[in-house]
Amino acid sequence: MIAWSASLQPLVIAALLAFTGVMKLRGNAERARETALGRLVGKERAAAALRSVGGLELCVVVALLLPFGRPVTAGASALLAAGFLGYLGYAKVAAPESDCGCTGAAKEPVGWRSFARAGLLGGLSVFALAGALAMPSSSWWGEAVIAAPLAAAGLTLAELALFGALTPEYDRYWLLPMRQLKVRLTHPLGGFDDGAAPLLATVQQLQVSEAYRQVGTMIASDVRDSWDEGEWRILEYAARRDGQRTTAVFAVPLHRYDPDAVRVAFVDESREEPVSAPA
Amino acid sequence: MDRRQMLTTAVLGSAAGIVGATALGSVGPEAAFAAESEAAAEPGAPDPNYVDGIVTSIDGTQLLVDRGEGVIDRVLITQGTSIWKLRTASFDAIEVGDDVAARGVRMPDGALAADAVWMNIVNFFAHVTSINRGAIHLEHNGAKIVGHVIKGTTVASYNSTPAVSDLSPLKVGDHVQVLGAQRPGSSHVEIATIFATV
Repeated sequence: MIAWSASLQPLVIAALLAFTGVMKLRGNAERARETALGRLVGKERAAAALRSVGGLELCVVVALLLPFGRPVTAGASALLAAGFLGYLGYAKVAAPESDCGCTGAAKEPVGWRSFARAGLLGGLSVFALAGALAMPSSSWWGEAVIAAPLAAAGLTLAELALFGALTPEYDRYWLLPMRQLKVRLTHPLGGFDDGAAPLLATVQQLQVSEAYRQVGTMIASDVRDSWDEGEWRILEYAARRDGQRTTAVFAVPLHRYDPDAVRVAFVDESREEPVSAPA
Repeated sequence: MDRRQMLTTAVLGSAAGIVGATALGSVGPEAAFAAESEAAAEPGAPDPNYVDGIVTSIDGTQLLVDRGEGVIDRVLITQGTSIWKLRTASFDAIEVGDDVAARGVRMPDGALAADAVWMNIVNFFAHVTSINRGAIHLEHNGAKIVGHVIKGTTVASYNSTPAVSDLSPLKVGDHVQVLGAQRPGSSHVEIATIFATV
């Protein structure tokens, strides 16, 4: 059973590397510059380097699918995985906010999933290499599939699903729906509605009022203070009127939407002369 | 009559719009507003009436602000200055290390007399990646940001309608705009307003 499983691994590894290789080759240059590879080899060479790695991965894919040379090809994929792990270690230290560029498309900073993906590739490669070395006469992956097609399909899909779970490109197919379901079931934000009229809603009503339109150019500050007075919410702003510093006070309906009812007054707190309201 | 009562009377009372508040005295250093700076920004030049940087020290009501590249600016907070730090706040809320965005007028000595200051304010677009009790996890250009929901403060505006405090329509996967206050030096943001299309 172990020998059969090891024989099947080149197929799984080839599928994984085919996906990552194609994604790297399809990636655009601008995205490549933003990856940690840009830090390692320089932004100008990042796209070429990323595509070179993708090309190398596809070469290993072809070799893995051949019915001969299994120790060599499994060793090559193990070396590739070791290289990925080393690169991820560098990226985590040198450019922790950057995407590793590992799968080419989705942008995700280097994290545990990046290491787990490379570790999975390395583990499968070492398993395949050990099988090929310990049992040179064991079957190649094509024979393993023919010998037990259903089991081969099940094992391959299980391993690919594990890889998919570690790959950000597939989050929308399983992680996002799961999180949406969790929110629907648990209502984590359900207890935050205090029923009070938000200040922003009052400001939004104020800003569409005729009173505000008349004096808006005089307003110099953000809301300086606010309080409720019966059916009204009072908003205080700093204002400049005829070059003088004044205070603008607005009364906005608190529990109804009626911008036409908004009132305004200017209060001069630094001089003794009264200040008239705008016409 | 306290100040709020006086202002309420001014806007709602019989003498609406006509008030002489002699009993209250000055709202701040008169020199700050006695002579507005005539300086105007040249096209492409930094706006002289705007300061953005890190508060490095607080001396009385004056903030020393590091604008980067060795440039230090002075921002004067007066009684007339509006202060925002997640919500309308008092001067005591300002701390060394805060990021400040200030708008005002230049005084003759070069200090900016602030009309308004916003502390640690951030405004960005993001995707909601998960929602937990009290926290909305966001992704902005690949960076993960934790948005904290503050009861009584955090509100949402859906489809450009007036803000409400009901956040339950928010869904994982939503594309949102977040206005809030960043916790300095971290990827955590306290959310003031979240704008979403539902």
